[in-house]
Amino acid sequence: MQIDLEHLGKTYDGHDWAVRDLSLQIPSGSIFGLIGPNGAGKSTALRMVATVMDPSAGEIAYDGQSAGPGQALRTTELRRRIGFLGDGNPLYKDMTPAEYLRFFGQCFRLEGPALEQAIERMLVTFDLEGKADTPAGALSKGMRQRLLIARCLLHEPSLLILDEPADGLDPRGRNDLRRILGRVREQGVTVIISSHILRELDDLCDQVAIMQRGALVVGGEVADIIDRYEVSRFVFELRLLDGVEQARTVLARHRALIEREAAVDGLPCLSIQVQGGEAMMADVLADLVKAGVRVVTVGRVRSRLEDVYDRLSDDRVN
Amino acid sequence: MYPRFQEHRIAIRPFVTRALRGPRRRRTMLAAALLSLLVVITGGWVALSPGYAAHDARVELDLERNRWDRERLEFLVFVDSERDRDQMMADEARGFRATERRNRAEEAWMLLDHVASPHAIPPRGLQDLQHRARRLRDERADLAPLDGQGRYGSVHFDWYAPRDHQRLRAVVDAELEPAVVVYRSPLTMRDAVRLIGLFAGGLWLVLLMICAPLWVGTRLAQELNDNTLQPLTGTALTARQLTLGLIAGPIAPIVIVAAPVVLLILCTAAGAGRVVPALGFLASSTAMGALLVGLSMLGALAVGQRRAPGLVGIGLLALLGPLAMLGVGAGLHITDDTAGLVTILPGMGPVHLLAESFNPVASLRGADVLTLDLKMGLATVGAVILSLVMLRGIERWLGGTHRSGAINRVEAGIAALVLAVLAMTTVPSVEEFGQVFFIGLAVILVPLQLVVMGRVPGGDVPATLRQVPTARVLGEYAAWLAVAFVVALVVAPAPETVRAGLPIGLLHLGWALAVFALVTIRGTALPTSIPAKLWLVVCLGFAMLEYGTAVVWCVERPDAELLFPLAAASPLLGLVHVVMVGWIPVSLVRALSRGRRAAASAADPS
Repeated sequence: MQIDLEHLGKTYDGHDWAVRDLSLQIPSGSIFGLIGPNGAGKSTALRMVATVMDPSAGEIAYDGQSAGPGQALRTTELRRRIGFLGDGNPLYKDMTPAEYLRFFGQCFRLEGPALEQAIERMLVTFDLEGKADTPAGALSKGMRQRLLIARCLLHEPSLLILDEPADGLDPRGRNDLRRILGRVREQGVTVIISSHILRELDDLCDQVAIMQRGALVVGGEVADIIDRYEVSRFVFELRLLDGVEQARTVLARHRALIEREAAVDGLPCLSIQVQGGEAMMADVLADLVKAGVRVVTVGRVRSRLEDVYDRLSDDRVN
Repeated sequence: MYPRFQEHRIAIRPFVTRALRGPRRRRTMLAAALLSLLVVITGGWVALSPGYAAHDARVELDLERNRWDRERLEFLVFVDSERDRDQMMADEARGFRATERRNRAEEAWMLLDHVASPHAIPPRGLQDLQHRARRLRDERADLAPLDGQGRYGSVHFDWYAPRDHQRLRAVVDAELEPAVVVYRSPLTMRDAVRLIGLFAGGLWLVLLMICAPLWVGTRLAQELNDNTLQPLTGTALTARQLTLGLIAGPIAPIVIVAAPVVLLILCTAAGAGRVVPALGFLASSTAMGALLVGLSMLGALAVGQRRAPGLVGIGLLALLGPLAMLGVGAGLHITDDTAGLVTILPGMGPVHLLAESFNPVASLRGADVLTLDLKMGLATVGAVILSLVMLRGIERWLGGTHRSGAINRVEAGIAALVLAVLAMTTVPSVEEFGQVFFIGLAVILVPLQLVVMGRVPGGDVPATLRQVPTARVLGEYAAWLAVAFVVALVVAPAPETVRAGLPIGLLHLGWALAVFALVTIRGTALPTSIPAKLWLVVCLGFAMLEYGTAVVWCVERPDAELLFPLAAASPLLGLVHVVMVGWIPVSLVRALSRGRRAAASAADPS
């Protein structure tokens, strides 16, 4: 399912806009990450896409059609194609995972053997079959989160919306989540996922949008964004055999910034940022050799999404 | 129609399955069987058991006269078994003088001695009874107390009390020889069947009018409080199906428990030959139960998000319990004066019909039967209509589609008409038009504010951006009041003379009614801080004062000081009153028009 947001806006009090003028295109079958600090408007945007909240301005199109009264798509019909996990989504604590999935499966009109098979599949996929008869209140936080995601996927939606799904998960739980989302993508489901922890998303998402104070800062394919924002930022990693002090003097002369110093395999390693691109780095390297510094390797360090985000949010605090 | 019914049936299945999952279904069925058995056993035991506890229960239920009273009135001695009887007779045969029978005879002899006194002058028709008593006293002088003082003990007899004649006649007829009778319940097997029906009906009322609203309201409050409703609104269920599911789930165990109870009611009604009133009872109680379920859901929606479900449950119980008690009290003792309450007290009609169907001894009709039945019919139909309107409102609220009000104009009009009919028929039709109208209006005022709330725009729109169509809602409100006026005219004859103070009274009334509505709209549409809440309370206080003033000017003969009643207490207060009458509507309308201005300024998100 392809999603198009056109100038989407939402205000809760009539004065401040939680989301303003948000325009995005989310391709069908992709994993789309919505990134931003707490309070950036991610959850509000996702709720609007999930049809559980009405926009104050703008429109959302699902495969080119709008939903709601007087629109081509009926909201209830659309909801059958969406799986939505909001933030702070509590469970019925006295229900077991199997009962919980059965309840929601019936709410999505799944019946008989199809329902039981779907429940079984979800319990296996989310590694909950051993806890199928344990009340949800007695499950660990990770298991509860897995159960909530299983509920969203039970009816095989074509759009899965997950708001901070990794919140409270341990590293293993996060890895499981990535594995599950990868599998979901293979089935052609469009996934929109929000997080304020970028490492969860940068190698998982096909596209991301970074939001700040309700507005879109940057959006597009992850590689494009990184390329776009590291044009003027050249970071190189130098591994030296010796001559660290001389290297520092040379780098200072070239106004290169040492971002990090560390030891890798017993050898000193410097991450430096140079002003002037690869030609400048060649000059720096020649001077280092001239000054008697024994350089083992030089390599450019590609930026990560986290670096882009840090850079963009340097002076923008929500 | 049928596919839609099927659709709803499928939609409520998850909620019913959830409510009866695991061992719950078995436990509920077991509880149903046990409760039904308990009803049968209790009914049979109370009706037929000769034991003291059952006797006391029958006396409490007015099904039997107290055993000790009967002994005195019928000049009997009750014993618990044939063995006791034989023992007593054997003791007497042996010359033992302290038996209960002997005591009763001596007591009766003293009564004869008292009534046979030359100073006692009976009414003409009872002179023969006095002669017989006098003769018997003389014949049985052996029963006279040995001490002279005992003879002039505290014997009370009133020649004009039928109960005393009955007692005397029984003594004379038995010639001072009390019969010794083994005590048995005076009720028959047919009475026992009716008593079982009565108990089953009582259980049905508790299930339907207390448990069902309590369960549904508390469960909804819990869903709201735990935010578990949000995932449900994102499923394939329509808002109506979700609403029905939220009702069906908590009610499912109650239905299982109630099913054999209904069967018992129908069987016992057939056995007692009271099928029609029993069916009326079932219909009326079901309608009232639905009304209470709707009201408890409204209550849960109003406070469920902010208050713990336990608190909501306690609050609901605190309202439903006394309401049920009031219904029982009023329904069991209906008089001409109270018959009208049947249209506004949900439990009253069903309780009356239950007593009519199954009370084995007493007839509870104390009012004009036709009028009472008509009012009960009105109340039942009204409850059904109001429940449906509430259901529509709740459905739109849950679906978030109440941007132009939870109920539409037609639904609001129908609800207002029903409320007007029910309220105006509360007052006995013999009363004057003014009394009927003002009492009816006072009764209708609070429910009418619920209708006003239903017409205020809501939904997922910021409260400060909400454009409240105040004039339109006030216009509709005025139309509903006009309908209430017409209904009052139909119920009570219009006054032949118009009082001089009527125009002033109508001004006060119009102000009070408008302020009631404005306060409701303001409180519903916009967020209220603590000072705002206090201000609304002050506004309500003045509205009530003005309503009272309007009644005085329209119905009584007022004096000029009552134009602004606070002025009678002090000129300063009078001035405050005048200022408030001007300022209150202005402040409320200003607050309500703020949303429109905010909406205009916030229209551009950039």
